[in-house]
Amino acid sequence: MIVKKWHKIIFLLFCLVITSGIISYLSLSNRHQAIIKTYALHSLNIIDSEWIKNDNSQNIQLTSPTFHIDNVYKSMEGPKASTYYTLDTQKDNLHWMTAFKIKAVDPKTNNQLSNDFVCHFNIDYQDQEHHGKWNLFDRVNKQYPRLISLSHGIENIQFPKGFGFPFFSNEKFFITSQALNHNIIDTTFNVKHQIEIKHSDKRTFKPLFPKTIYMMLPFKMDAIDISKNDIPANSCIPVETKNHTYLNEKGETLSGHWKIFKEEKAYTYNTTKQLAIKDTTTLHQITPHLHPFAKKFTLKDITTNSIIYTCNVTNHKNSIGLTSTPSFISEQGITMYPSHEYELELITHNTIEEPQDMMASLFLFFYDKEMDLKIKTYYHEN
Amino acid sequence: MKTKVSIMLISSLFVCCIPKKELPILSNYIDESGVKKTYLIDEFQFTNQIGESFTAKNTKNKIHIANFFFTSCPSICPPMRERLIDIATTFKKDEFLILSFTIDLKNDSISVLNNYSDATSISKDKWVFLKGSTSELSEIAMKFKTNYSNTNNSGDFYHSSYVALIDTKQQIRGFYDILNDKAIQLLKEDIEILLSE
Repeated sequence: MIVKKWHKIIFLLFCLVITSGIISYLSLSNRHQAIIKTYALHSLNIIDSEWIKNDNSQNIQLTSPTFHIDNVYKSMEGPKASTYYTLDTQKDNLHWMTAFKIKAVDPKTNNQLSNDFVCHFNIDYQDQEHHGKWNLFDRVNKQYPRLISLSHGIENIQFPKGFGFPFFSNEKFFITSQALNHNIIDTTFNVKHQIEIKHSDKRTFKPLFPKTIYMMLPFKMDAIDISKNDIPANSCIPVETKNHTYLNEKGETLSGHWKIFKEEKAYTYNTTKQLAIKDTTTLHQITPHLHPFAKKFTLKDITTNSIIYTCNVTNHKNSIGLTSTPSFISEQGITMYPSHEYELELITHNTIEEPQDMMASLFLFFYDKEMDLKIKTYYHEN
Repeated sequence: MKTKVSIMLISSLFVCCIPKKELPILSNYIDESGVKKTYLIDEFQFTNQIGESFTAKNTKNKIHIANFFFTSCPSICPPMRERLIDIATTFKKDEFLILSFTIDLKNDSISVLNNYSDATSISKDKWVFLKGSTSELSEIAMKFKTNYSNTNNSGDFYHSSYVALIDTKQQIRGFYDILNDKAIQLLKEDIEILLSE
């Protein structure tokens, strides 16, 4: 009799825990649900949870764990996975990254799928390893150490001929890949991401220094829609802050993410401080990172009133998504000056009723003169 | 009996064939003349939270992680502290230490460091809080390949969220962002590797 009573209590407690678990899960945001789902599916080995890494003398190939798509996942909401990568922990040779590519593939057949299932993939270098190797301590902690992010609309870039990002074979990189699905709601399916990084150990490259600039808009904290304020740090904009809110020197609150409503709208932001150009230098590559409904993104020199780069965005015609956000590439480069003022201008056009999340950043690659001198000396000695 | 021996032999062979992960040695740099230089973190002298001298001799033949912090740090230090407590309780062996160097030389007195240490509930032999002079601090930061700013003008008071992992030979074997869960997982794996060497 007592045993039966205990069974009932345990059963009721079990039901209570399960019910509250389900209620808690359903009350979570789409992004947090995706995190829990992906964790459960990977931990229980229901879908493949491992990264596959292959490399040879010219290519690094990384295949992500499987991502299960069962819902609409907007930018930064979808299943994601991260890993560390080192080319060779036991060698200490200088290499150069020269090109990056990501594509979505079917996990079973390996056939390419639509890149509409690629939100982004990020590569972060390790500040202390990367700069510390060259005794460039004044560069440590100065900016978020993101090398590049390839995102929906731009899944393939290369540096200009003769330029590269220098790294040592025992250097560690942190790689994150996240899935996206703006449109498909009537089925569930799995995808993997295949990442390819071209590298070389030739001694003829010039080094590039990465820097990210991004639109920031002022807003009032009391007007923020907390229910929608669910953006993880460091996904689209590489900064160490929660929810991409910042205080400027005037104490104003700025955000790197905002909502756009059904209309065409233009935004501007003075990016001179973000650029923080110390010496006259040349800009050789620009990789944009935008969300659907962006229309045109421009970097301007407002001192000379000249346009450095315009990204004319092509959106999908009959669905939500970016068909193309072209990059900029130049061997000759564009000269940029510490005394000049620079501005970002973004034009968006949301054509549907539902408000959309917007952000806009540019990954810029400058010629790194200081590193070039160090590398020339290094090559001379080694 | 024969079967047992065969299973044991096959298992040993299998274990031997699994490539063992080796950590790189990162305490090296390229000097102004382009030459690769290696170094050891075998020379420093600081004062610990109980007012005693703590030198590089105390870390010899021990594995340790080292970071920079200040007790009144409102942003990244509280979550860093939680994660370091987790690491300290995970690796209880005497061969493993945590060193935390304060960058707030003005406000972090030895007694402040001691109170901060008490609040962690971790043994003072396991997690050592250290204070030194400005020059000693900047020298050790360079050895750990990092920088910091302790001029609290315009909010420019910062340090990295990374810890360095140092082996028994006083060589750096890795850097880990202690605020990143993946990095903590990797750090724990790498500490295990060094402890088993």
